[in-house]
Amino acid sequence: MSDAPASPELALQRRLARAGRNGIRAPRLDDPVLLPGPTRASMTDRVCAIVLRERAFLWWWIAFIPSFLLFALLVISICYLFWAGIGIWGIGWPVAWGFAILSYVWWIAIASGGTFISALFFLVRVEWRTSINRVAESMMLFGAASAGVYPILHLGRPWFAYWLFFYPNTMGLWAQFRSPLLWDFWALYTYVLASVLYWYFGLLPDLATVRDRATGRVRQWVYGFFALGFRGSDKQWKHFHATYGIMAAIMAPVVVSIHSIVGLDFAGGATVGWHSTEFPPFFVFGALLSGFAVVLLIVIPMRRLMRLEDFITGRHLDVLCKLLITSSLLLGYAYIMDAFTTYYGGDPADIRMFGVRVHGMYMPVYYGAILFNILIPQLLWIRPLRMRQPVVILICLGVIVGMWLERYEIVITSLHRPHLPSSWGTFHATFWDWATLAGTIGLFLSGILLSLRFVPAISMHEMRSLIGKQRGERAA
Amino acid sequence: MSGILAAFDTERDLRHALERLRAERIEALETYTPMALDERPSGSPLPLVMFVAGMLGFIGFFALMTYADVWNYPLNIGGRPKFAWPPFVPIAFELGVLTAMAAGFFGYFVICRMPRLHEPIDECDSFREAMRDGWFVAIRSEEAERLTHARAVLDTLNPAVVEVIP
Repeated sequence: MSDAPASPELALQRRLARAGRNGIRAPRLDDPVLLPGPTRASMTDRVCAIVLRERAFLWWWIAFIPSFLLFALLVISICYLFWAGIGIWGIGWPVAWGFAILSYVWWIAIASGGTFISALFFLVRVEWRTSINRVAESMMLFGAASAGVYPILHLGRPWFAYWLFFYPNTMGLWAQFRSPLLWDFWALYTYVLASVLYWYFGLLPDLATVRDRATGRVRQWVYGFFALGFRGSDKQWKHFHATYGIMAAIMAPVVVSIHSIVGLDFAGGATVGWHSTEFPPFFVFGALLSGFAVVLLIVIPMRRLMRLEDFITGRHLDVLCKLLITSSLLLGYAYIMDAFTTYYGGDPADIRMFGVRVHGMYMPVYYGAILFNILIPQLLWIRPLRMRQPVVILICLGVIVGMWLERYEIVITSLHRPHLPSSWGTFHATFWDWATLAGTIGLFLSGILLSLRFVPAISMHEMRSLIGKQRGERAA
Repeated sequence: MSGILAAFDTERDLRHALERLRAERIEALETYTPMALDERPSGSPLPLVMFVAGMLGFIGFFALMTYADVWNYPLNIGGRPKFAWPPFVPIAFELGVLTAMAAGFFGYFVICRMPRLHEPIDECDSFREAMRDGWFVAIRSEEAERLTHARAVLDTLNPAVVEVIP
């Protein structure tokens, strides 16, 4: 297993030995994708040990209990909503789309970033994807789940949600296929279901590993059940890789389609500030930005708390920070075009509404979005700052807030100044708006924490292949 | 006894052993490895199955929407043509994707005959290493002579463990 390391590797090993292997190792810009040291066996044991711990880490409980309480708040909010109706939210006329839609867009953006990392970077075969794709996929799953609750809640009469399906009915009617809102329904639920299939399929070999390493009867049974009899036979591997590759090739365009269709929900309406062909790419850029930010927010604490420094190195932080800058610049371009087309287009209603953003009541929202999404992330051009984890975390938190402000700006400021001045109005969020938003954050965090606890945090079968490549064992 | 199972410490040893076993014309070999021996496989029908399912899903749902809007319940919306096909594309695409994903997912289990939660090979003690860092080859046969021959060849290959599959 232990081939003689090449000389740069040897130097790195010496450096690590000096730093003390038990201490927490700070990330460095010149880190390789994988630190020398872990073998396939030791990596498997390390990752399985986290999943198979008898008792969860203390930090896990500290994070999980508040998250779960927030999730409980979501359940309460939904029950009250179904009891009382959507009048409990701040929406009305003219701002008929409030927190439900803006948070839906926000969540689906976060989920999309995870798919992007997992699927697109699988297709281009980058090595750094291997350490973080499982986390990115869990993020996609629970981001999509958090997004997925909103459209049903927003329907007003959620018990008629099934009207959106194709089905023969006594009314003799069909759904309106020409409406972007119906496209969105199908895009979202395709995305949620496809994400579940993609995540679970990629997980099969790792569930099989956990099954074989589990000692307790219950765990053996549960992991054995979910591994569905995966044993690593040549036939299983052959079809696995063929299928997984195609699934990734499908997920990459799906993620672009889902967020473009969300953009079309807006662009399809003749509403002031929405009716623009720019929206689909604008939304996709924002999705990338928030996705990379949330991956960083999960990966940085996970690396340290779960002692995964060998697998998540400075290289990963560096790459993700660079992607964050790239997507931030793309989004900056979209912001500029948004302003340019408004003034160049010359529609008085558009210009009037945009004025409220730039120098009116909603000024803090507009400039907040620019500050958090475009300006502050540019700090990451400074190389040493990319390795300062608290700074990166703060920037990423800023991006998450900034993205939410951007959605607020798109949904609410656009709606509050319709063409007809007599219809102008304002929006004030109620307690239940905030409670539902906080509740979905609880749903997301609970899901991520549960997946970190019970699902291997690193894709072990892909990591084995990477370890083999790093050691030149696959030359034959 | 339905077969024998041999474990090797490294991938290289297993590959070497497979060459030797094939040279000795020992058939019905099945490997069990913690990662794919060949990550760029060829010969799996699943990509084609997914493609066909995806296209069928796309065409099927496109046709359904066309039927609904052109024949079953035509709506005149601002004088636009009844067969206004561009808006049908997004839903047809999404549902095509969903059928392709589902075909790949469920097709995999059909082709691999999964889920099979228990197999005789699971009774071998060393087999738990297969998804960690053990490189296994199983030779299954009902004929005792073939297995004896295979065992003799395996013994020359210096395996870490040789076990009988019950």
